[in-house]
Amino acid sequence: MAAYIARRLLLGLVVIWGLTVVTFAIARVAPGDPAARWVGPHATAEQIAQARVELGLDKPLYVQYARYLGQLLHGDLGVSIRTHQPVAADIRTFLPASLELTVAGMALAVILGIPLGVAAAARSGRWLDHLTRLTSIGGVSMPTFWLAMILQLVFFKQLHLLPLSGRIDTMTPLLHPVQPITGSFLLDGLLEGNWPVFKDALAHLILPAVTLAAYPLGLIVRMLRSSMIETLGEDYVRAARAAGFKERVVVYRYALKNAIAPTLTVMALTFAYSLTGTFLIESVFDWPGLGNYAAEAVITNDYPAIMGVTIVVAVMYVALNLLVDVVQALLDPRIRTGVAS
Amino acid sequence: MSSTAKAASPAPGPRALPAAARRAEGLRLLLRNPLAAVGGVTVLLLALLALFAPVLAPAPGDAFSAVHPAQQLLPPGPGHPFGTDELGRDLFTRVLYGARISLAAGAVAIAAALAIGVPLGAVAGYAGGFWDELIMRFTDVVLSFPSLLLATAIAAMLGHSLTNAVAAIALSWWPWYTRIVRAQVVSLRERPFVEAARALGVPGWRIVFEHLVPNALAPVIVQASLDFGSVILTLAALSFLGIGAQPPQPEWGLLINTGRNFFLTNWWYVTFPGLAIFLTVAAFNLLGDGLREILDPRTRGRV
Repeated sequence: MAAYIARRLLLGLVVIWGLTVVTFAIARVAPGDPAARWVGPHATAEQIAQARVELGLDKPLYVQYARYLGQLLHGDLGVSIRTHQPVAADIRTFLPASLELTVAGMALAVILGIPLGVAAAARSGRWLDHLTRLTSIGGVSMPTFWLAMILQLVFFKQLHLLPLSGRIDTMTPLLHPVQPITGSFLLDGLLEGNWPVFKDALAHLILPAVTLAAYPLGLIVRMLRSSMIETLGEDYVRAARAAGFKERVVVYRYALKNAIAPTLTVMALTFAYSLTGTFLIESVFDWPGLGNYAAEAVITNDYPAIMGVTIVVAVMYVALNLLVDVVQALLDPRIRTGVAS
Repeated sequence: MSSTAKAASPAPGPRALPAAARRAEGLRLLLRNPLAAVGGVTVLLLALLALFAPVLAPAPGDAFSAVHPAQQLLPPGPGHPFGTDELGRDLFTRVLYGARISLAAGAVAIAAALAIGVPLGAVAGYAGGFWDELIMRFTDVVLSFPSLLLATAIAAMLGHSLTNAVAAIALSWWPWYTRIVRAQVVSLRERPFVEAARALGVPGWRIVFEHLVPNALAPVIVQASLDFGSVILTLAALSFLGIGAQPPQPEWGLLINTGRNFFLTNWWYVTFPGLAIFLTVAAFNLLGDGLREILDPRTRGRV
């Protein structure tokens, strides 16, 4: 067991090292002089030459890479061209809002997705199954940024039910002061019993979270449906039914436990994927998170910020993948001993 | 349709069927899967619409640059089924021409990803040892980026254009095909026909590209067609971020990006290009799901 985890961790470290090579390559292979990009479009030739020395671009590539890696290990992601702040500090500022949104969206997707996937598999081929499949294909086929605007049109413009954008009304925290504990208005409002803040934050969170949930929801339902159909056809399930267990017990207690493993992997991966998904919807909802920051960075050619966000999100993706592998090995002895195919 | 399929397939069992009858059988299975059939017909229809856009469009001159100050932001109505944009261009025309961009760019991106991924996978599978390890570990690293993230980073660094966005998608997509081809080649490598070629002294590269790759291609082609929807969606996302197609191209994601400045008062501007993306991607996904079920014998009976 320990050997399996150690091997998996080592492999994860190798992959993360690989990520730094790829990110470095993208930044260096891209056409255009990084020094010229650094000093901006109106710089003189001397300024560009000076920037080249300052950035170490006059050194050979492997020296540049070593320097880049050294900075990364010290948590130094460079300085943003647009905000003139260290990229690492920017990411620390903007990540919590994105995490709040991503957690809310994923929670929604899981809470809806598991019963839907199970129900579709249990009634495979019937109308509920067809409806569920259509919904899940819709979820993975819809451009999220478009869904965001359609929801705004319906729930803000037409029905006047929910706020258009932002994380909270500017006035709410002024009228009902809230002590920052977690940095999330929703949680802080809840912890302090500050209901006006909680309600306002929740109202602002609903539309972005629903938008973000659409894609993972579709994936979870699809994965769970197909693995549940497979599991429900197994002999032990037939045996459980023959023994007279209630259908609900057979499906949820016996079959789901074995069928959920591939879906767990998908959930972890879509969590990290959804962090990238925020690139597309945070700007629509004016949500002050990492996605909004990244969208601004790509459009303004703020390449230290682009590279910083890329490496941070990619490392989170790999780390989550690793975590799921380890958890599944703990739960399922077949994985760690390599008995399963 | 069904009578010809029956006549052509006297013996049951897929092995006994000649190729033409097997294709007919596949088509019959596809048509019996209603969702897949809807997807297939929609894809065909979209391809025709894209092909005949210059004939079908009410105002072909509006597809790219044009200004009609008298008809800015008109709601949908006679003459303008999807309304008009902020420069007075007919939105239906622009969405129709957008289909040409999305379908063509999607095809080019997938072809480019195949051109990178297939040879790498074939070499890894045939050579084995050091080259196999090197290529496949690199593949693993590229796959450990979320694909949209990698495509976004590459497109942003390459410079903002449709061509670069297509290149970025191809550069983040090839590892999937490398994996499939490698697995195929590994299973084909020890077959008698390859051994025979080796015994005859055929050079390694000719064995790989003349004997192994053609035989390994079928599952890759299937996977590539399944990926079409995701590629179109990714391209729209890059254009929406402003790092894909540039004005005045009528690319769907870009139309939505421009339309967001007007959408609260002019609902049609983002609604129709988005519907076009949604329908196209959903059609490809439905078709792909159906294909997968038909080709996978484990699920064939359950469709």
